[in-house]
Amino acid sequence: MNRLLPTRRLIPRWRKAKFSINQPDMLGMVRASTSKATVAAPSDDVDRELHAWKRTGAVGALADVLAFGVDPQQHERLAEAARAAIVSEDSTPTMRLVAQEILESGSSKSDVWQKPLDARQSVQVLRALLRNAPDDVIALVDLAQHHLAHGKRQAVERALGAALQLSPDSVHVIRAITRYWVHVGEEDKAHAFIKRTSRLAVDPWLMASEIAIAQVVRAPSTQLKKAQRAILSKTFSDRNVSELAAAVGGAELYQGNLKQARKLFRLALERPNDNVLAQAITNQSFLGIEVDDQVLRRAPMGGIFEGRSLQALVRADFQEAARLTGCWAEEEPFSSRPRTLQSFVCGALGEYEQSLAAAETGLTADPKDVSLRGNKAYALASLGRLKEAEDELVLIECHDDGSHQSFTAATKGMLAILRGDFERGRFLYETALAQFKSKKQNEPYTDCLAFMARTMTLAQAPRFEADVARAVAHYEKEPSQAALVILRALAQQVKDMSEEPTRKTVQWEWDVETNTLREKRELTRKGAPGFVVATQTPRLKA
Amino acid sequence: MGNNAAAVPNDEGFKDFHEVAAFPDAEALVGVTIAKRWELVELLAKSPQDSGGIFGVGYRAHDLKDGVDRFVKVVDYRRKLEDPIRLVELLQEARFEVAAHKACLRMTKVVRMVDHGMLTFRKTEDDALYSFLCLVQELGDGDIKTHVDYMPNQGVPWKLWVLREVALAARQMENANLAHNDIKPSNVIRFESKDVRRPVKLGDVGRIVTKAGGGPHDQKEWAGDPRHKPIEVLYGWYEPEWTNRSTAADAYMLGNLICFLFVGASLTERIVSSLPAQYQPGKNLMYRDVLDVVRHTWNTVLAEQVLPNLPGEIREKLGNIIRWLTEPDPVVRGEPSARRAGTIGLDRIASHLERLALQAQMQERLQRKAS
Repeated sequence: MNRLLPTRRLIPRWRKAKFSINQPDMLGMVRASTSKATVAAPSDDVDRELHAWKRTGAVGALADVLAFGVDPQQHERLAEAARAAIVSEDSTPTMRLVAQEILESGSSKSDVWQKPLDARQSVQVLRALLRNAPDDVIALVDLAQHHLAHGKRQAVERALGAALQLSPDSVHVIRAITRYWVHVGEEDKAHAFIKRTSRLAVDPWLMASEIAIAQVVRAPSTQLKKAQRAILSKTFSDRNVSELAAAVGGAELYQGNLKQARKLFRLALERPNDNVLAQAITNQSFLGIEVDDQVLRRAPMGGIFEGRSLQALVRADFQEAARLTGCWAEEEPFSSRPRTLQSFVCGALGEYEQSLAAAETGLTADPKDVSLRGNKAYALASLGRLKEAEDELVLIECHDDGSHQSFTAATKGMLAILRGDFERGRFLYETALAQFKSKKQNEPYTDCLAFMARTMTLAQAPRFEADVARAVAHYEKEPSQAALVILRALAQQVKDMSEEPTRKTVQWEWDVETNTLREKRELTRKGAPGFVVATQTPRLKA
Repeated sequence: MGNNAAAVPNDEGFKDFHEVAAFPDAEALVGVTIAKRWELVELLAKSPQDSGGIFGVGYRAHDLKDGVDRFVKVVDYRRKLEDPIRLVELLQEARFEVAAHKACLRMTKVVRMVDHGMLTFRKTEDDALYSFLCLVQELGDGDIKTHVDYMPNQGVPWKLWVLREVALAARQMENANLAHNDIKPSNVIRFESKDVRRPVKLGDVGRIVTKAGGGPHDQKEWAGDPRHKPIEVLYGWYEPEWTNRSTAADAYMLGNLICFLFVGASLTERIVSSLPAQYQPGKNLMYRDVLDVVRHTWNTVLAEQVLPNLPGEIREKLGNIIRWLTEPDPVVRGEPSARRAGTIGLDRIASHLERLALQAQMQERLQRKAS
């Protein structure tokens, strides 16, 4: 069982439109219009139409009155008409929908963007939309994502190519294409593509993507210097600079400039998006910045499942992590990353059916993902389907470049133990542990010991108590969240040792003299409390 | 109130004087005969023919010459004397409305002005004058809002004929290098006729825009009622080319009228209410930058809320017409093959609507026979 994920970079995320729509990167930097146009309806007009409806009682007049629903300020005055439309037999279903929306002012009942659909329904809907309007770029990009989740690369490239033709300056399309090339392992193409886009030099979201991808392909970034200057001169608003600051921060971190990186991530976390949050959580051990609920709340609603999943993982709340990784996988169905974590988390919790399902879904999108296959083998073995587990291990050995050898050895050890061959099982586990040790993979080492202890306990192997004690002892030296969950499930009294002091991005200061509470938006020292009482500086005597 | 002393028709319209003891209100003119010809017989309660443009008081008048009833709009602009800037604007708009009516005189699908002029009252005791501007027009039988019903498959041919007539009216305006820019249900006026094919005319030309650029609304941002405006207008988008800006706006409003007649909702309202709050109009966003989001919303609203409510037999064809007319990008809005030739293609739309109307009429007859 493993959760080895490729190093997380700040490459653009490619979510479904319904998740992206609330994120600032959906449209990139939207230019401001100088127009004063509004949807405000003159009150005289509303009065006249209401009067005309009351006088005639005609359903047509009622429909025309309801159209004032376009202006939310008028909803209260339209309530009577809305109630009449709901009860009237002459009303159409759309009139009733409008009336309901007016009565529940502010909430759209039509759910154009939030419709809960399964993958099959969603594809049907997208195809229907594209039949009617083939230039619906957002539907094209969503459909491409579905194709990718099923490994249909040709179809993906066709859909994304069409989207780019239709909307060559769309940040949503450019970032989706960039992400696609990274996803299929052609990072050079991604970099070459994004460098060619005409909007790159003016849009901070594209600049951020270019910097992150340049880092992945180890090529010099064309935008890094410009971005540094733009951040210094505050060219972009807080809303638009978030990912750019994190990308530059990531480059500084890569160079080892921790202090500068920390400053930039603090700026990025002022108004973060989900990508920045997830990156900050991933780099938490280097930056030492605490990404707590207060910071998470600053991100736009929806689509922050990756950040929340990683946060749940860090605090060893695996039940929540399992749920959130499922949501994250729905956001990015083509990505094996959330499925790898989900299958790992479920496996650690002992929910093997869910673990197997997550691994299988992830493998549909990316059949070559060895980590997922390893998790599938583990889940199959735990479910007693030993032959199938063995077959998976054979497949892993064919695809593996050597990085998963130790995990495979551990799963083989588990299989041997479940077959009753305790000595061979123990031997294979020890081989895996030795390999982890030689590679200095401390966390997988601790995890492996915990998984071994669980297998030994379940199989009632000889000296299983000693294995458990060994796992506990090692956990206390080198803690890991998965080991904590497993050992607690084995009724062991283990403390959560993973908490390290971190820096806060916000600290509340109470001034006793003026009885005011002030929000200090600066990085605190490590382990600083979230709330402090202001200390008075002594006044100098004249 | 004394008899009319003089009626002097000229290019500026008639000038009609009445001797009175006290100035009457604009709402109290029943019984007055204007220019020896039109006797005001009934005050219309905020007339449907008076829903936009310069606001005035509507009367039903009897034409003493030919015995036909007319609609007279009486504009009391002197009431605005306390606000001189608004008064000047109002006078300009009034003059423009008269000019617009004159420009539309030969348009068979637009409500015609019969005459216009000043109705002036002179106080007998001090010779003080008080004038009203009067526009005498064809009298309709109310707007289509009072006539439409949404029972499934009811009145389909009538609705399609209405739309065809409005499309032709917009086309006639386009031919004269004008655009109505205020096509909405209350400006589509019904006329008494036994022939289902000649039911309506387009009224209220007070807000027309001209290609020549001399009108008061040509350079203005659209003010007022947002319900039927094209989406790009709500974002304050100014399309530089006249056809793409003005005729395309008429096309959109015709598409919106189709939604009103068949679905009972304004497409503009549906799109705006379904957009995510941060991308809704009024947030100073550049329309071109949010166009992809608007288009997806428009497409989804059409697919889920509009098309399912269209009559089954004509759903596909009428759905296509709505799509062509309400296309969010004004540069490509219109009938596709006409668009390739550089026009919106309102004449082709009218033909499509006529074909659909005939088809619907035939089906209705067959159904009647069968039952």
